[in-house]
Amino acid sequence: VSRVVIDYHLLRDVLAAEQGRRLTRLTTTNEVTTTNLYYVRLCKSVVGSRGGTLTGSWAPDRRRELGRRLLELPDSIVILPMRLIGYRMAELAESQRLSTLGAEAVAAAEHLGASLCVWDGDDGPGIREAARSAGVTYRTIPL
Amino acid sequence: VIDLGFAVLTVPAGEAPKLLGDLLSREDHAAFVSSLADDPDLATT
Repeated sequence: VSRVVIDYHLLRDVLAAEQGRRLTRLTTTNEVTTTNLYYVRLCKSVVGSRGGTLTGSWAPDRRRELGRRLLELPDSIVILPMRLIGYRMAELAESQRLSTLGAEAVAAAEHLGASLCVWDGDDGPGIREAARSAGVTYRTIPL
Repeated sequence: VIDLGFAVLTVPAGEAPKLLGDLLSREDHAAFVSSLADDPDLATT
């Protein structure tokens, strides 16, 4: 089974069923995983959201509750527990000068033998180089 | 069916993802992420 680790932008699009052609192909031909911190970052976005045409008139606490339910991940989306990659994350953060988020993404992809896929608008040179050094395939995906 | 605690929301099958799209548009999400650029733990560079 081939696997991909997707970032929070791509995860949002998967959960909102707003996938472009390349993302659709990616998610239908691979097991989809993400990371704890990508997930947290997406949750932070929803907590702070103001909503659009359908939900903008809702009270903030009710919008947040709706968001909590909508962000419950389906079982098909895997997140590696920190206990499996925590030490490797610390090594990567130290040696590659990565953020905690970046270190988790590279460590998860390395552990799973997965490709690391990020939205091309959020392509970061630090994570890209760290992935290359760790032998992880790094791909950017347009929305 | 989405149980929100204070109410139960019934939406047609497959429509729930559209609610997420409304709650957090792609543009709003990108803007929010950009606003966190100074967070050293969550930086993407």
